[in-house]
Amino acid sequence: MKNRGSFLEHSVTLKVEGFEQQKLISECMRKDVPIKDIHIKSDIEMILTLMEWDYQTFLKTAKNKYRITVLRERGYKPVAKKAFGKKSTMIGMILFALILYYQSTFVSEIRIFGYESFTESEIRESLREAGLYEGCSKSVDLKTVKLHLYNDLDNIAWIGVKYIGNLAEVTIAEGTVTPKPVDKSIPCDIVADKEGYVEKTIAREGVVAALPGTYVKPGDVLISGIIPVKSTAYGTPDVNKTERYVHSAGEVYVRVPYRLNYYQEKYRDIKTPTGNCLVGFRVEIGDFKLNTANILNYYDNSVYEENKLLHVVRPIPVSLALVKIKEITVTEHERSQEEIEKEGNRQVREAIRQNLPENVQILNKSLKFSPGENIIGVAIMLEALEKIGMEKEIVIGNTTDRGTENQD
Amino acid sequence: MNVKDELLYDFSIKMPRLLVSGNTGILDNVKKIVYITENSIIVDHGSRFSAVSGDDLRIKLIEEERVLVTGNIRSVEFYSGKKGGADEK
Repeated sequence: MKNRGSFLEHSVTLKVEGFEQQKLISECMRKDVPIKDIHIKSDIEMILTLMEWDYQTFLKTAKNKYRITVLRERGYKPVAKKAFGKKSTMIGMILFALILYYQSTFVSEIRIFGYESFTESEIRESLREAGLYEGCSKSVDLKTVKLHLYNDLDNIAWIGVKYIGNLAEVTIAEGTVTPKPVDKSIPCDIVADKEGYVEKTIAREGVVAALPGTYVKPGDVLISGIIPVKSTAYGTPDVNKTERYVHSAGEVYVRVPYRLNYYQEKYRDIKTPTGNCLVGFRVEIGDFKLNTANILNYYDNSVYEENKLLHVVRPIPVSLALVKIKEITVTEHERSQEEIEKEGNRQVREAIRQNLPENVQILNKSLKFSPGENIIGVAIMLEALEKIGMEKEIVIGNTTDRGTENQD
Repeated sequence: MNVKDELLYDFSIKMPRLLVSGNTGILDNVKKIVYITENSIIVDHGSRFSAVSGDDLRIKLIEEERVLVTGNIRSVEFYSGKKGGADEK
């Protein structure tokens, strides 16, 4: 059997007009020409389909006795030929392929996994600073990104960045700093992990070592696990004093002072528009960036305003915005005492939020302003009542500080 | 059917062999199309003729001595052999 492909590859549908149609079909059978879908319309007209390879053989067989009209061509070959034959189609396909390739060189989405103590926005901000953001080129050095994240974010044990198509997957493993508690069966002291003045000590087990009012530093024993035992038996000398070791437990509250320094601007800038402005547009396509207003900006002082019209990441990062640069004059006005105090109180709230642990009681707070030439120094004093203390194992006959090792 | 009959059946390349099922008919060992209209198709198998009659008959495919017919097949007829042929009755 001849291998001539199939009707799916390339076939032609013909209208054959003439007498004795059966003779023509029989002759085709004799010449081993496969015919499909023979439809006898009338005594002198029929429609049939044959493979394109047999078309010439069919014409020779039919000779000039029949009038043959090609009605249509079918199959993937003529479709491809038709598609590739048109210049516009070719250009369109090349353009499509180029766009497809170009858009594959950008990061369209970033997913972050594994974060616990950090917020996603913090990590995204850090990634952006390192050069990895949605819309950036994939050619960014991942080693530099990782290094930046290690430096920028504390207590990161491992960072993994990988590309899955246009998706950048960032996985973070945070380290743990929780001190390992001492086993209940092992004797231990409660020692200070923060400095401050002892306010109150509640010893459930052990002996109070730091009385109220005592100033303690990290490492000082607050509740001791060594309890002296004195025999009350008659005739027992004082030298026979002995010790009992217990697993200390209790709560120690200390007053922890905080001294924080902040700064404020002495003068407040007042921006007054002059009425002059420049209007332009900003366009960003991939790495290409153009801002017409920035090019023409000759003002000494100006305010930049932007109205985003388009911002897409797929298929390629495109951003379009109308920009306006307004000329302004800047004048300085000394801030009033009321404004300074209001800002100072805001700074106190911020200091508490940033520096103090949660669930602490603020006992005292004070603000001291030190005006300078252009800035005002703000010294914030805070006193907080905090619960401190951590377990430290008592190692008998061994000078090695195992408790500290365990915590490390 | 014993082995001899089966062999004879398989090698009877000039005898009509028809398979009709529903609206489809398969005619094997076709050497020539004798008559073809929308209502009737008569074929030559070499030593005998066979005819398929019905409505809206169409040949779906002709390939390697096999004709695939579709349409409302009403009847199938076989005609005796050619004059002077072995099967002439």
